[in-house]
Amino acid sequence: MNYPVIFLILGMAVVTYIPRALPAVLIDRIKPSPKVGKFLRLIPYTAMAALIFPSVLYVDTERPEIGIIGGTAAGILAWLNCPVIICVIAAIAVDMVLYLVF
Amino acid sequence: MNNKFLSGMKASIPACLGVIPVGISFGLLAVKAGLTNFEAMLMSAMVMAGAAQLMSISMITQGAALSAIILGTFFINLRHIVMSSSVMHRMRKAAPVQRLIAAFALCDESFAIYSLSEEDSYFFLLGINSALYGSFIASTVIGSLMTDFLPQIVIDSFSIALYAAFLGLLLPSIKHNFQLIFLVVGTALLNWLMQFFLPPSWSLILAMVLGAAIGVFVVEDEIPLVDGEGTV
Repeated sequence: MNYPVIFLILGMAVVTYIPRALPAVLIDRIKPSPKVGKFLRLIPYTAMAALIFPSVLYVDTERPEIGIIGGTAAGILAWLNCPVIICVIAAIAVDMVLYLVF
Repeated sequence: MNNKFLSGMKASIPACLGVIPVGISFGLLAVKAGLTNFEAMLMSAMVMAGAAQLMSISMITQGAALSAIILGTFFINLRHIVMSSSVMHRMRKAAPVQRLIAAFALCDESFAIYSLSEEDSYFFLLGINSALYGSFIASTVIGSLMTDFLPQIVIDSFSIALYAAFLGLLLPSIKHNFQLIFLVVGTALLNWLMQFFLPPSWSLILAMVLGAAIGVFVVEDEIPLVDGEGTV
């Protein structure tokens, strides 16, 4: 990071608070259309998708299977509705085994 | 007042149990990415948005510019304007200061609980928000402290953890919706293609905005909450 973390935190805090606070000031004057509302609610899904792929392949730049197998383990548990922390622990455990054994 | 505050806190207990694992994961990953324990806690206390915070950690590890991380955060959290509009409509009799305080920790979970209840009171929402906010900060601290106790071999295998966290947030809420699955896969492929022409952080932002815009026309069903329970 070539910037102080406090700037990052402050910047993120400001851009996060503004959309939360605007309707508190301008009650009933902000009415996103259903289409706009849908667009905004879809962003977290598309963000996660783009965050996962293709970066997961480069978890270990020399060993793509580290990302693929660890990610698959987490994906299976997530599909079975396991809590986030269980998916995280399982993926770490799988990769640890891969590093130790192979 | 006290009664409503307490009943808000009580109503948020199931959601708190969902927030705690996200906070722990964030605390761990933030410290792994180079933030201090205090900075991790401060980010949770000031931003209070799990998905955006995990995204920022991912972008930090990729070496993204400050402006890219803040723009990405803006887009991923812009949805709160919709939630806040509906909450503030019901709270229009509360004082402006109260509304601004309620807006601060308004998140997907507190919106869901407030929307599903008959109670319009400011103190009820404050109770919900306080419990979620407290759980999120406390779990961030626990997560960041855990890095001190973990052996090196575990830390070495940590790079996968962020992706595991994203999968854990994403898959449970899309698995029953084929259109959403289609959109998510399409966005991932779009991001991959654009990375041949753009730096990763900008292709990420472009892919998430383009993907959501396409999704408006492709996804017909109700959209579930990304890091909460149930559909609103």
